[in-house]
Amino acid sequence: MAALVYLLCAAAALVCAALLWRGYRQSRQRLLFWSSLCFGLLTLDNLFLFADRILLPEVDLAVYRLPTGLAAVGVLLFGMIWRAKT
Amino acid sequence: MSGDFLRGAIAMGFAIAALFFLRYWRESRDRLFAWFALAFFVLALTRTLLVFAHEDHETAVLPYLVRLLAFLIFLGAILDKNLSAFRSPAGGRARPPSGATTSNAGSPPGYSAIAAPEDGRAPSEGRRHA
Repeated sequence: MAALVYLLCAAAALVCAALLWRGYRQSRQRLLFWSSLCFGLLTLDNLFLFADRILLPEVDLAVYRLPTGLAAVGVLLFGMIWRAKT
Repeated sequence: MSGDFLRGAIAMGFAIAALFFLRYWRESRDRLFAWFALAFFVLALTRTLLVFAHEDHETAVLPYLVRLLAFLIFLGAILDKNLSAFRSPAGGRARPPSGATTSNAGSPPGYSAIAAPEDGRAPSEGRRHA
């Protein structure tokens, strides 16, 4: 059950990233680029979660997982604030 | 301890992103932004709950079910935006003839609204489907 939830989280984030990336490729709107990057990193975050809890439970992958999540929200905020500034 | 610090920072970041989208929604009345704001608030909430959860609880699946709900809200919002853009006459103009030069001219259906203009303000209703 838990493994399925982790994988579904990763899959949903990946689809969001792909749709936003497609939008960026067609429109070149920068916020779409940052949003897509954010969801791509959230996909990675969820995959790390799956590996941490299911594949390698004896290894603590939080050291990779948490910075990835922080980077995800960081790039989105950077994109929003950068647009507000320019 | 540093793990809790990072979880708190992530939660705060999601909450700030939610407030940005809430502002975009207030200015544009585009429901895509409202759904994004809600989903980011949910993500902030789950990350906050994980800070206070004991290790036994952290391995429980409930917080991650809520996280999954947030991602499904994102996905639904994007798909809803695309579908509504295709259905409405204005959305049909999201792919303008070649040679159009407005900033949102090349936006694919459903994404012209998420891209705020360069001054950081959310696009107005009139501009969204330019």
